[in-house]
Amino acid sequence: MAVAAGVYGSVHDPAGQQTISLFFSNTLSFKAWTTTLILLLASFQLYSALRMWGKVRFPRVMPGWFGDLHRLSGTLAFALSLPVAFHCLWALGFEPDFGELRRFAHSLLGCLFYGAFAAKATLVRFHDAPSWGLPVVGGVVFTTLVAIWLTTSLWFFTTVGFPAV
Amino acid sequence: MFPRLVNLFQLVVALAALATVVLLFTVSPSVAGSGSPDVVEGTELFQSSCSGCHGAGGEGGVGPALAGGLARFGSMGEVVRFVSTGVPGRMPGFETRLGPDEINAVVRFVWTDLAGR
Repeated sequence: MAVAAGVYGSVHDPAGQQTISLFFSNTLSFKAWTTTLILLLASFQLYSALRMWGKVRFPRVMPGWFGDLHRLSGTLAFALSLPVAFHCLWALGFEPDFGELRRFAHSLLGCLFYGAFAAKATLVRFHDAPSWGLPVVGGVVFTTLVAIWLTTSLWFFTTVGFPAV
Repeated sequence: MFPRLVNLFQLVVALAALATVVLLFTVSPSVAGSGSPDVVEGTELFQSSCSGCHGAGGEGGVGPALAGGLARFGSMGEVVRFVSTGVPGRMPGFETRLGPDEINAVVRFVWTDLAGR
């Protein structure tokens, strides 16, 4: 998945156009805020995973729907990432120049995110997978997402403006 | 009930992901204004072709700011050539997407209205 995204971003001629912006003034603002929302959902994913694995004790009694809420938040985060990734790949492409460090790192991280997400979505269905597999892959997904947010949303808010809606 | 709704939502999102992949290979860049003189407007062309990287008001984004900028260029002609050919890995060339009149129109808009040259 990661390689496929990277190859597409490299060989596709970037359109350089806006795509979806919803009620934001432009696509970049939409992407910066959507990525922030995705990060919040991913933070809940991390917390709820820690609760399900017994690493945190709040809430003391875990509701029966807690696992489904974990799945819902992850699915929603992935759904929100689709229009963001579409604009990244279709309109901007993969940055191959190491000299453009932020864009280069963001390109790599974006590809890694979808590779790690695909691995997690696959691994979660294999109940005989090693017990360390899911936490490790989930940790990679979350860490990658944090790095993506730092190289785009934080950069956007500090460079272009805040809230810049 | 809740687990079923989540399952259904996951199915919908999976289809949306599939649709996104299809769109990546099927959507062509829009060539705003081609063949229609009344829409060969620099502002419209800028919004459709440039604002994705340079911001809706030319304030910058993925690409550099254009508003109040363009100091590196000495004339509109230089900008036209730059926009036409692009820079590999940084900015697409627009000579295959826009006609000469359209490139001139959008550069005129950027040069005068955004950069204030």
